[in-house]
Amino acid sequence: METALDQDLELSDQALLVLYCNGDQQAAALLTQRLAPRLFSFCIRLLGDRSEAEDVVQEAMLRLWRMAPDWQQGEAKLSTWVFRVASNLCTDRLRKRGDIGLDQIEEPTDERPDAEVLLMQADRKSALDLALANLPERQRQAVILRHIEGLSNPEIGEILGINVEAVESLTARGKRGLVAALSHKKEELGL
Amino acid sequence: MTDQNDKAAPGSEAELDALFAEARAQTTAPSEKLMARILEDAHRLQPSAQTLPGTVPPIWSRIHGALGGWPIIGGLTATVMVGIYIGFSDPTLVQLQGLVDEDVEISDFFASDTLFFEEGTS
Repeated sequence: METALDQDLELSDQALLVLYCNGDQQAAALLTQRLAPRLFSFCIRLLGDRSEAEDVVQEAMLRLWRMAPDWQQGEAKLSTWVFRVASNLCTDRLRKRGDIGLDQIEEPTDERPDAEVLLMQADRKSALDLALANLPERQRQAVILRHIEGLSNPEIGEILGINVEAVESLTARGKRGLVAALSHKKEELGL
Repeated sequence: MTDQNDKAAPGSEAELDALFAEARAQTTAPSEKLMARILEDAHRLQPSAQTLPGTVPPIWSRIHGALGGWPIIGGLTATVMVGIYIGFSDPTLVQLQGLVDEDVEISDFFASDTLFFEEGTS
């Protein structure tokens, strides 16, 4: 939902955080609408579990609210900061449980209308999710952030704590891994 | 399935890019409950304006804080007002008749002090 404040002023995330600190409750709602869906999309792809992804997003946003009074203007992009927090939280969870099991990714069902079309789309999505799940964790994060969330290499570098060259290397290796994994699935998926 | 999907079978980087585009279009939205929980946290932790980073509160705000708040300032104001009233009030209102003798003798208890003043003027 785009509010008058958002539409008219097109405030930056940082400006909204300052308004939040000034007691503006609408600013908190706008920041949540901007950041939470992107974080959730990223986390659910990394974790493969809706409940865990929601917990991570809530925790990352909670840390944002706590940090708000101490935010230093011009240091980093707010979205990059909160993605870094979410990335670290996801990493902690993945390390605690080992890794994503392939059986945790939902299988497509054929109980909905246009089941054939949905099944094919779901197959393609599942194929990508499975291939992503088989990548090493850092490659998986870099590929998701670059090619699905659409972040720039410098932003990804800040999130993962590495330089741009390392990001390029991770995404290139990740893409090669995905191509290799998906080419084996080609016939199996009937694509 | 669309033609685009038919063309986008996995096996090359270009086809992989098509899969990424589909994935971007199929994002899973967070639940309303999650959004509500996040906003609840935001409102609970919302700081007051005085804690903004890099801002200096106005001078009156700092004086107010240094003195200890409105109760102290109220007491100080009352004291000042009483002092001003006493200073400007008519002293003849104080009736001394009958309490002291009407003949008043003024004595110079510090007559020697005038020597210093006289020396200073010479």
